[in-house]
Amino acid sequence: MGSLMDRIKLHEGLVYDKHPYGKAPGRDPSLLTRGIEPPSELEREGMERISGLELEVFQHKMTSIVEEARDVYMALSISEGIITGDMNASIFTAEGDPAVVATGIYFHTLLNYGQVKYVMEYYRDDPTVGLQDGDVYFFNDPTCGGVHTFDMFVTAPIFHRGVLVGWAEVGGHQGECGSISPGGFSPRATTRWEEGLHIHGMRIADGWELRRDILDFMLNSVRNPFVFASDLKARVATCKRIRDRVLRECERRGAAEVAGALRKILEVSSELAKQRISKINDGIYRAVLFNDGVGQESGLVRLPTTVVKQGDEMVVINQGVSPENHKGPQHCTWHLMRASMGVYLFTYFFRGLTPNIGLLEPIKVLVEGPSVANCGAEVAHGEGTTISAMNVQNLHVIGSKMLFDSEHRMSVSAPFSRNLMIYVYSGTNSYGYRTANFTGTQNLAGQGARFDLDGEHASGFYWASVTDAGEVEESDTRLPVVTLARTIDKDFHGFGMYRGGVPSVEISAAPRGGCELTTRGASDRLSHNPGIFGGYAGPPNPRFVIRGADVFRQMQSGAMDLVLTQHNLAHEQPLEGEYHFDYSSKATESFVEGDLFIDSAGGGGGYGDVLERDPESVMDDLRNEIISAQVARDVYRVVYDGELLKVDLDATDEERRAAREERKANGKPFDAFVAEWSQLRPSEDKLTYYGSWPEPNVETYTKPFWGLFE
Amino acid sequence: MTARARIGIDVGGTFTDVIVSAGGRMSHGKADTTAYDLGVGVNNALRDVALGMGSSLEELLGDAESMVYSTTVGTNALVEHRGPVLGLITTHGFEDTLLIGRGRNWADGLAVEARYDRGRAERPQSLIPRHLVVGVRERVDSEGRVVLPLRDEEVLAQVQRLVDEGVRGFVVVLLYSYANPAHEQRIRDLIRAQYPEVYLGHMPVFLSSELSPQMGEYRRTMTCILDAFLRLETEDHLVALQDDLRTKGYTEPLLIAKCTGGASSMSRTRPIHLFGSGPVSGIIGAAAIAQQYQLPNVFLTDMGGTSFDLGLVLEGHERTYDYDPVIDRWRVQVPLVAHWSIGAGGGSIAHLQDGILKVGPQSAHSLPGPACYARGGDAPTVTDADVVLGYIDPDYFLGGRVRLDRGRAEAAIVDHIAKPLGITPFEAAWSVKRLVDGMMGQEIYRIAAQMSGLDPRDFVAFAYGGAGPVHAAGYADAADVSRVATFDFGSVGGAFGTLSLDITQTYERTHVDILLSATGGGTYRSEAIEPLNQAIELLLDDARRDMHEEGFDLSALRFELEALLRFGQQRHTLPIPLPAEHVGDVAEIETLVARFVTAYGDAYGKGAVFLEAGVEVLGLRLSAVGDVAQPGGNGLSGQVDDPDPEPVGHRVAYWGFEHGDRETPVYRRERVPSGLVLVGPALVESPDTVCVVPPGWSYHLDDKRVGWLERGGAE
Repeated sequence: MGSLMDRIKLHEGLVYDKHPYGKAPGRDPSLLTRGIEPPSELEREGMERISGLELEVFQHKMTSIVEEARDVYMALSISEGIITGDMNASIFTAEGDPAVVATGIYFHTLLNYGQVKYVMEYYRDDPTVGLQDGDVYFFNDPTCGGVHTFDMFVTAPIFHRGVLVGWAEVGGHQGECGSISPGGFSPRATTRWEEGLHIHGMRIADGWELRRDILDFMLNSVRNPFVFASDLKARVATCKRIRDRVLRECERRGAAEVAGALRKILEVSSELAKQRISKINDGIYRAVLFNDGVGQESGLVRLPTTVVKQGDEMVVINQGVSPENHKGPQHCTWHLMRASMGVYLFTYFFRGLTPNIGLLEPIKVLVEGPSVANCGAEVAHGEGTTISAMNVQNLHVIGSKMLFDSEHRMSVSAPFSRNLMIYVYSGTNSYGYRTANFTGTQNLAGQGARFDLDGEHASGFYWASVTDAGEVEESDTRLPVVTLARTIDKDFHGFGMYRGGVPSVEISAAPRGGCELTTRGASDRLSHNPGIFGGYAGPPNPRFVIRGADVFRQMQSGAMDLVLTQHNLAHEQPLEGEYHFDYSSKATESFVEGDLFIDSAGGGGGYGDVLERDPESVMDDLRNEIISAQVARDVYRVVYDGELLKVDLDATDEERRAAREERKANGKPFDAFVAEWSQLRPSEDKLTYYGSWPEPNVETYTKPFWGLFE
Repeated sequence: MTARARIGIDVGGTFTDVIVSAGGRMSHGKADTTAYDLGVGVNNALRDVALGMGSSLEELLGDAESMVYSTTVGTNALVEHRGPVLGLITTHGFEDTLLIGRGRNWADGLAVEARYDRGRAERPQSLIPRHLVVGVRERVDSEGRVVLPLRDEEVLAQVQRLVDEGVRGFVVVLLYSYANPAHEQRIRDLIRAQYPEVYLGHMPVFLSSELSPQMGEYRRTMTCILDAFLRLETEDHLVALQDDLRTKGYTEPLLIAKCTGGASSMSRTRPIHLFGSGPVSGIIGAAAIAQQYQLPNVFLTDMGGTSFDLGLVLEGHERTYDYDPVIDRWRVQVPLVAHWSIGAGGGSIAHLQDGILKVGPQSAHSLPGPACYARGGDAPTVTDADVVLGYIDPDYFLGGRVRLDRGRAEAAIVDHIAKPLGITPFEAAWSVKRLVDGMMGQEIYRIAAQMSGLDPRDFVAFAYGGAGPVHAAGYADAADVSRVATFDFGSVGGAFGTLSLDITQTYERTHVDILLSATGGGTYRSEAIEPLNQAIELLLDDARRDMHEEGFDLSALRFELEALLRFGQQRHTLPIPLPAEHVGDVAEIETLVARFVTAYGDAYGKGAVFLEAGVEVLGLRLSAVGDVAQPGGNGLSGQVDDPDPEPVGHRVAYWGFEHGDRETPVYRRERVPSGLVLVGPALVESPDTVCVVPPGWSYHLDDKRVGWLERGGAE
């Protein structure tokens, strides 16, 4: 890249394009950063043979295969995460790059190549291990190319008459993994040694038969061997299904054409990505987000994103990132930072292109490390997605700015909600099974507003394209809680010319016999759902529980017309009991019957100026109880008849004109703003884990914004 | 007329089809569907077929012994949101269930590409606006115990609120009402007391515990709403049509085809069961033929102008139910016979996207239609490609009733595809065909995999629709299917299928219990027997009541009972047939579980079986079938009036990069002698389609005049 990149200075002594940790048994981080493998002889032969038309037909077929696999996997599994879509199914090239994927979760589709390549590089020719048809490998170690230990995968080579043509891979959010907290998420973990089972890539089956000794070892390492075994069998069965289908295609086309076509899919995707990038205005684009906790306690953490775009190349730079803190699991690996970008890029930036790792080829990823965004191997990694999601949100804001003046404006929007809380309930369910899992609430987050539309309410999971939140009548029987409400709550989204979508808030009670709760989140005070072009951010989302509510007794008393919404419970506090609005990441605690849990995945940010929202749309929101009268009046500045909800247009125009005058009066020249802003500084207790202020890694740097520039 | 006629009618989006089986022969007719009044199109189509039989409409109707009617009246009403103003009463805390819709309802009913396009997600407009949804404080738990009693005064206040807002009917869906319907019933009693039926303005009340006693509050709510919303429109139409037919001489009951895979009289038909009755009737008809030919596994394919529809006969079963059915944009609980549709048809538009050829999902529809229709469209479509390739004779399209413009077809292909890609018109048209065939083939493949785990090679395809036989060899090849059957009546397959429908009622209900215990050391639970039998008896009661009303001798009924089983804590279930109407002892539970394990292993691989998890029952499904006598079988006929083994002519057709263009013989189907094997390339024309026989395939008509395309015929 030419001159624009020359304006960026990277810190000396820090790593950017690789991990700050080195090789270890079962791990070779260089495999994670070297990009798509060059085609093998076999692949080259097949690539030359297959026409563009046949490639299109082949790609349809492969997509059918992985989509079938996804459906089978979801059908067979019993982990709540898998059932609701937190998973993937893929076909990798023979050399180990993911070529065809079905989601589930987009970042899953851009990972796990490290483990496959490790098998190829270190085990295939090792006489004590080897590689043959019917082998199945298991992995979940985040430092080797995975996400967190509770995301578990299996992969199997696809041999056609002794020739390796590809790999089948299936996995997802299993949950319980033997970590210090039940159910996977361990907010209090500070090192990887507290995060349960770590398997880098281990052969668990020969000839598709699970090895009993290894299975026993794994089952003996987790709290719910029953669920673990069931889902592991589901993964292996699904992998075999993919393998059988691909082999049939080999019979029709020959091994070389199949292997070559898989590799060529990546090449074509890479070319299409370059074409898309080249049509967008060159420039340097920036955005920043702050986290308000580190796992064990509160504290500021910074994650800035800079994108340098020139010609058909892009560089994504995370510089000025807070250092590792060793106080919790919110540490991300370089490969997860890169893979997570797929969540924004595939749905929005590269909308319409087939998602696979080829689309990332023209994008260089530089993540300052060691830091929370590019961490060492020893820290806890379980909530690395919190950090990588901040980068995705920044990228979404940046991407919307980049695409606004392009033929792809349809993708311009505020980010999808990432203010999600995850409540992991453990206890005995209505069938009498011990369980530790979450409900589908995280799949009901609010969407960010679009350039021409409001965000959809409760429409999915942050990381996934299509998920299913299930129904309460079903989830209540599976989890040790009684869900009392699933509502679209009031004033719980970002306002704007187009407003963000509202999440569904789930209000649940501990059942007879009580239950345990572990929570994790990252936006109790600072939202990770920015608005765009003047839209408000989606609101923060702290942990909210009511102890001692004894809600069943209070409701049975019949005297109380309890309104079961978060808005009412938080504002009116109508139940007796202790109201806790807490830091979101909490270790496991016990609760008794009738205690209440209020959980949601957060509301999306708004788009554009609130004063430009159609007053009739404001009335619709009021009528549908999405906003309060206070918001209609004080934020949107609409004048209306409170009983009939009829807008007084002239009075509203006047009110909005006055609001604009107020803004002008509050304005100041940019230099004056910078001078004032540069003097501001959070209190020391907030900066414990931040690094140097304002630039975490350079004590002498005093500029008000982030990153080093000429 | 010498023999009493059986009449099948299928109203589609574009055409209304009628088929008449009488005296061992079949006749069919068509008319435009008249959306403003479907009865007009029905009359026109009946007249058309009567004319072809040398008869009049009145004579045909007067002589008819039965008439089965498949209609889209509900579909139209839903698309246009034509229905009464309804209010929804639900458990407080769940007033937003309709909107939330499991989070995924924005994507329900959309094509695959749109389902991934989350950035542009838009939910459909709700059939009940949010302000007409009210909550009442009550709670029943999952085992049917009352946790929080219902308060009459709150119910009455909420009902009054809805009445003040102008509602004309109530849908009542309370949490866990399938386990204990007492609160829902109480609400109905209160409404009836307040608004007695004897007065004008009486308002109907629909209880979810009656309409769909099944787990899943969103799907149950949508099922009830659709039923309630469509009732008036459906009833008005059916009553008017029945009266009209009666005045013209038809004296027998009008039977209604249903998406559950049977027919019933109007008084025993629910509006929601009318959805998709046309395609489902086609499947039932195909199953009857499959049985005749002893074909266990059949794909029914129907390629028309805008869509490619698929159904299947699986291991001889005529009814394979959709696991998680969606009607329009709504996820529901209906025992819907599974069928699928993708946007690939003769009108699908070919275009270049980032330099790569794509076909669909946009369609030119019938207006402006393909470029060759010369109605103003200039985008290249699949039909244009077929014309350019020489498969469709522009002068014999629809038997010569519509003249096509080959020049316009070629110009569209050249301008939009051939020139930009630097290839010949033949190559461009071939690429369009190859791609659309590939897409349809993948869909067949996907369905086979999803529904059965079977290899597509174990199936035979039936090709219906005007474009079906044109592309059948292509999509069959892509799907790995090597035999395709084509039919005389292929363009009216839905109407044909209605002739095979039995009188059928299907019921489902949730029944949750553990059959094989995971925690108790793997014991089969005898305690599960009595509750299971009680649940079965509830279904049988419904069935006996309804079939008695249909006039059947209850002892002659055929019952098909299935239990929906799963391994412990799974969400997904598999339907396993129960041989008897009650379970006698624990050995029968063991047999049932063994059947489930076998079916599960067959579907997902034996390695996936996990008996240690235990086995649970989640629900029951019962079909009560009253066989309808069908003299003359399904009417497949073996007569050829004027056989001629010679082609009627030759024309140049293009057969792909390997074979190039060839002078190709053209035959007329009605004159090809039975048993004569035509080796591809060949074209076999009939008035409503042309069967394309590529190199490497052969074609012959059997003694029932079914045309068989088979891969492997020597060139």
